[in-house]
Amino acid sequence: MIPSITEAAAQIAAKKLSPVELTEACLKRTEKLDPVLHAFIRLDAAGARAQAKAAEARIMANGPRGPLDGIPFAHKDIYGTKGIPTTAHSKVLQDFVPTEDATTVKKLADSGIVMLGKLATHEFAFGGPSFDLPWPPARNPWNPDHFPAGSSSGTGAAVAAGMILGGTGSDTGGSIRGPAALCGITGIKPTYGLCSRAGVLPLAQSLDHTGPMAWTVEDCAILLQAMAGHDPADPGSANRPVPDFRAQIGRGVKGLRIGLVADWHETQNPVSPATKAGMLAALDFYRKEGAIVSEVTLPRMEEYGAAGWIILLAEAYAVHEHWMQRDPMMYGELLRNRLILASLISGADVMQAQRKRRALVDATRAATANVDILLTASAPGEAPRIDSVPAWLFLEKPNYTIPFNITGWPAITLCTGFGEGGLPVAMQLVAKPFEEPQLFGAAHAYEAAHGWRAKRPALAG
Amino acid sequence: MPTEAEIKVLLARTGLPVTAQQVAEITRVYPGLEALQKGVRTPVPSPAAEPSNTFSTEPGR
Repeated sequence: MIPSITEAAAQIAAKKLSPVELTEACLKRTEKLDPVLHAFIRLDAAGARAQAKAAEARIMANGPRGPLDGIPFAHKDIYGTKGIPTTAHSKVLQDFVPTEDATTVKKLADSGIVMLGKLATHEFAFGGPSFDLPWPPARNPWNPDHFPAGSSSGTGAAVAAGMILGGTGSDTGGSIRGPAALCGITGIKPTYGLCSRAGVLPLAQSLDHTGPMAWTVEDCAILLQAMAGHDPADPGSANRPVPDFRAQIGRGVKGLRIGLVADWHETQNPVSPATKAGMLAALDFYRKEGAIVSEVTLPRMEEYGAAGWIILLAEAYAVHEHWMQRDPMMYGELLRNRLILASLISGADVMQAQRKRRALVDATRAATANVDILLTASAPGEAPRIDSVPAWLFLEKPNYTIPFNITGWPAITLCTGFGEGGLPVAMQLVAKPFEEPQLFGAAHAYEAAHGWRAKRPALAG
Repeated sequence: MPTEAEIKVLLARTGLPVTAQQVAEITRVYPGLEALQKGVRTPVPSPAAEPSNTFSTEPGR
């Protein structure tokens, strides 16, 4: 059985589980499954074994540093790791070795995690799934012919398959929440500024968020506790105290005001029957548990999408302009074409998008004055085949996740069951800025009352 | 919807070395970008509307 972080931490603290044995089990699973799933760009088995041994000695001598001491973990390969190549899954940076750890990498290392390696991403967190990069794209462990979503695709696949118990992701338009949804795990995009982005390769700085992905809601809360906090090296970092993210777990949802954003998944981008059934069952659960349920009308998804994609494309092009001017053929076709399109965005486009963003934040705040939590879809349905993902999907259909990159509000994706194809479906819960404890409380209440965490992908054994 | 020749002119202004195939692909998807451009101008913003990245003299902002 593959434990959650919460379960493993309790056993490690009680000295019933050895970090060395746990790491060996994860390495063994990785060696067996990764030739199919391609979740890892770089596996550092020797480094992981050394860290696990050190954790075990530390724990035997003085007890664990905390719940992450000795927990197998890995980083999306845009997180800078000192002395370890950080490639962004791209030929452009295939020889790049950072001289410093990203702030969040350092914080997680200090918490005692055992780092197994670096995980697949869409190229620079935007171009994927791509088949013309130095490494293949990650596959969905529920069915390797299918898409794990992206861009934190390696993290989604590795956590679901039990190669690691948790990992880092980044989210600029849904790149934590999408893979969490399609891989059947849990992922939180925290409030903008809660987790440092210093040392993490950017996609679009005003929309970029770092955050954790794991099997359960409580695992994500534990990981966020280690990652969050003010960092002067990140200009977007929020300077405020870090709360106890587990404070509201187990306290129930009585009196919590939950707003269903029905119009988005009913008419604007209709979801599959299983996705809809999962969302409505969750709403019914919350109602029965004493939450106050209502419907909320937000601005149209296309409005958030227009502002979001213009800003994302413009900021991304600014990041890549130098390399694109020099040698665009270093990029995979998908990202290269997206950056060529991005080069056509004007200064006026960006300013209008920034004005629109402010108006959308104000409209979202006004529409949600009487609710604490929003419930929306996180993906239209189960994962599609990996060879059938449209290259320009973001221009064709509005997505459910980018609105909360626009607002910067915290949003979590969690599994609500399985569809006709046997792959996971999910919902998204959203809270007001810096209300992560409330968000974790609501998500955990649902998760604890449903059995979805008992089922892993068949290939995970 | 712009023609391939018009897209080629726009791309020439960016200084990017692009192939005929890339020009054709960008021409094909350009209406999607035009929809985004229209979306950020609907409704027409007030001339005084502040953008979300308003400058501040406060340190760190």
